[in-house]
Amino acid sequence: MVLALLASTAGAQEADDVDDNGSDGYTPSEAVAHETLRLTGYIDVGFAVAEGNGSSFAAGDIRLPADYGVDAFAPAVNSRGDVASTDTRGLFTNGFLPRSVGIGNRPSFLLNTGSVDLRFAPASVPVLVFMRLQVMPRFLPTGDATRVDLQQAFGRLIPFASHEFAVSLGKFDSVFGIEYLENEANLRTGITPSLIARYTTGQSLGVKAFYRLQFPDLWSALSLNIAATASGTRIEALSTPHQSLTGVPVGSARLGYELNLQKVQAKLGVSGLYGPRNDQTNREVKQLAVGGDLRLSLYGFSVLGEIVRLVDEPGIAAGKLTGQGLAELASGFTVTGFYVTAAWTLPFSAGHLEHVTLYGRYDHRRAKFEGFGQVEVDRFTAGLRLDVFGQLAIKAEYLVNREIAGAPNVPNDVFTSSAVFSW
Amino acid sequence: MRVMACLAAALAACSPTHPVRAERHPTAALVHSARALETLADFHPDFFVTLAGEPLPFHPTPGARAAEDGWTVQPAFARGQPAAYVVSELWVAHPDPWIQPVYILMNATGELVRQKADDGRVVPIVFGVGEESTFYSPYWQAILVRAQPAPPDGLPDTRAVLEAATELVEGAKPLCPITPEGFGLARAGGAAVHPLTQTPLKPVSGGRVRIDGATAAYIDFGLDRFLVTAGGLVLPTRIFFFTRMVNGQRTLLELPAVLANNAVRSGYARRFDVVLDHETVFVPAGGQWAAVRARLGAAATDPAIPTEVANAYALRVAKTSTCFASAATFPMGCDWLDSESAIDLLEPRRIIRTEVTMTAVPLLFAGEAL
Repeated sequence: MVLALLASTAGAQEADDVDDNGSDGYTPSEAVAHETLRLTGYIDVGFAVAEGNGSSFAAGDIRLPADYGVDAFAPAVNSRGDVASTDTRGLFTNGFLPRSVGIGNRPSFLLNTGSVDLRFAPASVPVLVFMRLQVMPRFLPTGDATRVDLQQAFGRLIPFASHEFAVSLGKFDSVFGIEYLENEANLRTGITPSLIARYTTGQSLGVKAFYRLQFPDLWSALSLNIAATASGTRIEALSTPHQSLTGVPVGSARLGYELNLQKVQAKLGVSGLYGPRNDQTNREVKQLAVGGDLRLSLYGFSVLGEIVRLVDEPGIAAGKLTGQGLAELASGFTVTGFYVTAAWTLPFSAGHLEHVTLYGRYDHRRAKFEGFGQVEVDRFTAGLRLDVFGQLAIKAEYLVNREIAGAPNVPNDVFTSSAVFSW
Repeated sequence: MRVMACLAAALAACSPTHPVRAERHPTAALVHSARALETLADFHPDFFVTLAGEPLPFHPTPGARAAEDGWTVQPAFARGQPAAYVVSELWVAHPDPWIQPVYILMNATGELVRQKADDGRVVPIVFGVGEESTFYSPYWQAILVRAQPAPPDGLPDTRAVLEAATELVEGAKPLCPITPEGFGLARAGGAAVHPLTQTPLKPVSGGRVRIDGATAAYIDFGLDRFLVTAGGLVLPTRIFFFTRMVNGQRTLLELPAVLANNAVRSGYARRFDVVLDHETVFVPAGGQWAAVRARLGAAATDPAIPTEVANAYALRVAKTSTCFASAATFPMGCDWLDSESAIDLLEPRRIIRTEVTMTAVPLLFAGEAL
């Protein structure tokens, strides 16, 4: 049945097969299906423990909204950026919260994500259909909070065989920066996302185009990734990707350059975003972001970094809408943040142990809600990753979260680990 | 053409409707509006603030002008008696405010006593949120902070307070608007008074406060002067303003408002417009009231009504004017709209809830200066 649903989008040129099957719906022949359909995915099983009460909210800090004066995203426990807790001790918040796994400070196993990718790419036409369906089992103080998310669903067309040019329509990854490339646990070197991932790694609904121009003589390429989407590049917890609340799309783009030598690769890019805030309904209220990114890879070492500056204009009417519900007001907001990640894949393997990678990351974030004090935080992350059997990644990392200014000091360091089984 | 028309209609149908613009005006913004002669929520520019040198509204002395910038003392009625209040914040189409923390540094040990500098002045308090915030409100939850002696200029922000704290004790709930330096009640000189009855009002005082590293001034209107839910949401009471329908539009009249029966304990109020129909306004006899009488189209009144009585009822709304004609029947023969209870007896359609809320702090209530 699933195969039938997927294949029904395949195209008119395969109509003859419908007749051959003699059924009401279209079902590809087994041979065609094997050729064009791929089913992949992963499960991410975690184990984590956080300090304090698992959140960034300090006892005694009763400023409201509680999520304006701290970094609630700091105690992340998995690759989704979910935190150990968002327990504010009953204080009012205003739509600037991550999703939570609700473990507080209790050590716990977690089924972070069960993810299924369906990819249908017939050889005869330059079209790809892709869906990523994810299940996140969760339990919160309010009871079961399991979510099922159609994280991506798009069709991609490559209209010219002679050009590296693709147009995608549907719900897809961000085009801003580089961290979205590691959104999924099976792709990310470490476990947790950076402190600026919330602004750049969200999926959204719309249209995007990608074009790459190769310069073989220079071992180089230039690329442009540009999108017009409902919400921009923020994660769904902060801004719904599933419809435009203003009627005007948000534009985002990245211009990239890459140098691909035999032992050394370097990639750098600049990104931008501009359009209405999609957490409120007035099209005159804008969001603006600029960013830069750099990736270097040489002799088993890789270093990558990204910097972002984002400005949200204040909303002009009551009401703020996020992926997590209705809040009161869309306040003006500014943030500047960056991270630098270094990873070293040790030059040995042993039997089924294919890779051993050490990695570390430094994050820094400075943010300010209109009228609130500036919150400055940073984070040191250190971790180890083992790749075995070609389909299992075992990762463990420790996050040292520090409140530098604005936010009260709070115990919110995290140890987290993850076993990612890919298939 | 038809296709284009349909497309245009479809686009129009798709255009999002914009909700009412949310506005917030703390005292500094009210001062700014007074300087710019801006009308806010249909209120005259000097309704909230009277600038130094400007005429004092309602003041019986011709030419009386404010000595300094200050909140305009507004006459009102409450529970059938003259009252007075000031408005320190105004919000339009804005969610109700939340209570915010004020941290008060106390001795590290022993009796809970405020920390003082060597010169005897108390160490400044710390507000959790400044007036630039969307979520600023003058309604505070006091947190008494036991800590080692702080510098004379206090601790800069919430983070510093919580780092220094050895114990936190929940205190009372003061009402303290942030103000420009040297701000207070608008007055001609001497004590501020009720503008119609000349009843003296208590002076207001404040102090210095630290907010996110900066220093500001505030006025302290005292404790327990607002209502708040257990979750920290400030609850509005009602304040009634009189209006008339003019050319189909509800038009605000320059008359004293009517405060809610619980206004003393509820300084956060939502504006309700009371649409007058056949009611009339009592304007005392005498030349100084002639212009007001003409403007309001008020009925003639008996000059024999004693001035003291007339002033106590000046600009009060009555259901009919027949009782104004004789000092013998005035004021007991009148049916006044001078209390929340009396207004609630009107037809409900004449009492209109608005999107305007304000900090309306009573200074005189039930004959008592607060």
